[in-house]
Amino acid sequence: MVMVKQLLYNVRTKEVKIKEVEFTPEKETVEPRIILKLEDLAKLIEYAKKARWI
Amino acid sequence: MVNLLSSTFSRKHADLIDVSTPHATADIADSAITTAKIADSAVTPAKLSFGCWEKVADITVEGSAVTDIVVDGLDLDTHRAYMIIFKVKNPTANSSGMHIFFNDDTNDANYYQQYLYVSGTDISANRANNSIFTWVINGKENNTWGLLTRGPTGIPKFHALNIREGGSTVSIEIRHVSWTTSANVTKIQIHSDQADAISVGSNLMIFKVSK
Repeated sequence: MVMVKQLLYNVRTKEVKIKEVEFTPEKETVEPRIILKLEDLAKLIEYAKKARWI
Repeated sequence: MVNLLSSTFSRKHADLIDVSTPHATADIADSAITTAKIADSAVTPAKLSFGCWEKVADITVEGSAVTDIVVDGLDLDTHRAYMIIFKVKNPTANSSGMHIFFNDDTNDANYYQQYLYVSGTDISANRANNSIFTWVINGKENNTWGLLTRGPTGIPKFHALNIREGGSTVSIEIRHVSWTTSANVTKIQIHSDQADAISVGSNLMIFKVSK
């Protein structure tokens, strides 16, 4: 756990404040995702045609 | 010689000497009306007969990096929509998701986001149970243009179009964040999930619909 800063702003009072709060950083992750390359897609279409799927 | 003192005192003369008499705008020549004669403070969106974007917050991080920018005093129902422009650089050693939270609900489980990311010929997509509206690589910068509105069922949804990085690695990142709670939004919190990943010079602007 670390101390971090929050920048606070109120649109009605136009007051700016800095607040220090406790914070536990999230473990850095790589977002889960499926990467589709365009050349892979072309190969897939070619394969699907040969296999008479399409 | 005409004796002006003895001539009939007409209403026209009274207009000339009585400066307190209000004049109809029709009496004022268009050429006499210049913006220089209008005080800057008198030019407000409320004077317009149509709605426009009115800036309500313009916050730049100064001094040292922060983890959150919190904007309070908002009223989405009254203001109809918020346009959000966010420019951020991540100065940390780790990549960081930038989350958007509403009304102090900082529980990611109460949000969903769907994204489409395109970098060169790589295309990726995912739907995740969190409130990330842009993902900033360590040492890189992103620009966000977004629109926050409530849907017909009342759920606030944030539509974010992001430019990730820049120059030779400029990439497209589109994210839609949906809260699962149907409520008016009165507070917006931009939060980095790494400590102090919103660098000095980062800027957040929020605009409301004026009327």
